[in-house]
Amino acid sequence: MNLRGYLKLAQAPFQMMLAYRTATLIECLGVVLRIYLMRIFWTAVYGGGAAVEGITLPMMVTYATLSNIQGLITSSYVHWFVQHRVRDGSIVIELLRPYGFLRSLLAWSIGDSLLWGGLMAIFTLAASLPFVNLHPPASLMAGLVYLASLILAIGVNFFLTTIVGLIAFWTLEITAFNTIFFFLSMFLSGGLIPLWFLPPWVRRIAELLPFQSLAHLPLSIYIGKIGGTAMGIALFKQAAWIGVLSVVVWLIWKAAERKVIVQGG
Amino acid sequence: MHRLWVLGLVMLAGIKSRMEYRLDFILQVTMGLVWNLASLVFIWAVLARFRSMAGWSLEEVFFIYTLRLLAHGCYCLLFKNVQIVSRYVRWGDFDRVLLRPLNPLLQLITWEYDPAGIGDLGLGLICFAVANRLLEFHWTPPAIAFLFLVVIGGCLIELSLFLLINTLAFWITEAGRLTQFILTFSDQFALYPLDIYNALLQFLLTFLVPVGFMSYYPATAFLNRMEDTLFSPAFAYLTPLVGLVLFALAYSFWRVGINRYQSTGS
Repeated sequence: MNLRGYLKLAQAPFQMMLAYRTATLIECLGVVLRIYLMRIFWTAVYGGGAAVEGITLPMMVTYATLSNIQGLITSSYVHWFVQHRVRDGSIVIELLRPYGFLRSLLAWSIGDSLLWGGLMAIFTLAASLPFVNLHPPASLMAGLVYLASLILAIGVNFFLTTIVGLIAFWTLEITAFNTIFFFLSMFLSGGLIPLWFLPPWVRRIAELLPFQSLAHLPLSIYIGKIGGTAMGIALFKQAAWIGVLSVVVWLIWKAAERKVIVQGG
Repeated sequence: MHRLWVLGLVMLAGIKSRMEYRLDFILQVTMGLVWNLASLVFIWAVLARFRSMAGWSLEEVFFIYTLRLLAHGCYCLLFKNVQIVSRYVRWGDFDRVLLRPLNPLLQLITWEYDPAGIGDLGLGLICFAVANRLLEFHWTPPAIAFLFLVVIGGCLIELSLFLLINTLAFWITEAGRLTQFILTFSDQFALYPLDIYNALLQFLLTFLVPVGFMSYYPATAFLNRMEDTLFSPAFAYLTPLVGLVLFALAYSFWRVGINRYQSTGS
């Protein structure tokens, strides 16, 4: 299938979500509330004290706010999409369609992140600004590299969630795996607690895993904790993970194709 | 008494039918535990680094967390279905409920059973055991009695808040979605000492969405820090009363809603 077809697929989640406007609006307001709570929380924890690990309170509030907002963009639900298709057997229809299943998932996911996620992020950001002081990026360069890093984060997250989704070909049920994934990515991505504040042994584990690409690397670039050539290294790490994970996804997919079980007669 | 007996029997049947699917049952319980564990790990990890917040030590904040989780666990174990009452009303299932000779609310609470509550309460009990080690309480019989009343009161507060919101479904179709907001307050704002909030939020969390009474206020009594209690030291003992009054209010509102019910169209 040509690129035009995939572009059409990318618009699909946007149109679908438009049907659930109220639900989405309430979700955004929920994120605004959480951003406000995080500002209160970190202010209380710092208690007027000085910088910790080189992170001042305004930097921390910016980090937490941006983490919540970019979460709207990087999050993905392709794994539930795959589980649903495998369970009700409609995966067979997907396999018959004149395009690659994985590529269609990617198109769908990118559309969901950039169009719908982007719109939600802008709305949430605008609604949060009265409550928090969001600092601009450390420099113009940091801002640009942050955007590149965010795009790579969407990629890493896509491949990770796709791996979770493909497990459904063997187990039909991914709730347990999703829970493990949720827990790991919550704490090892640095999205909730910056990795600098965690014990050294946790930090060392996080260094070896792909999760820090989701939040820690882009956010550290934005607030200037990672600067200069280190920014390039961070981007390289993310790109390398995309390379490794895409091979893993491809291998699992090859095995899954031979494993398709269709329920019913 | 007869009603409670029936309620117990139906609930037990609900648990049994869920246990039919062994793995699913275990997964549900684990999910209940993991969701709460996530916020616990967050608070613990940050306070292990920063030691305290607004004059409350890690151990004390952990105790506030524990009190909320005990009340929340009891709520989830027994009444979690209240959260989806608005759905039954909108789908028209409610007609069946009205035809049966048992209190409609009791029927809805036992309609289907969500085992996740076992995980919530289980983690709450573990946390309580740990908090006991950390803080060296001296439990006297009145203190133990008060603890039970606080947990029951906190449970009633959460039940009443969700009942109030879901009763709105008799008037507004989208009422169920507002549940998310109450969840944000009861699941997140209630985890921390109220001292960290500004005056407006303190007022809100005390008088409008009184989740402060689930954890923070009674904690000041158990931790002997009543000189710090917001508004008045007496608030430290008010949890059972707040629970009862709020439940009376929510239940009356629910009665008004039922009388208005006209089933779904067509």
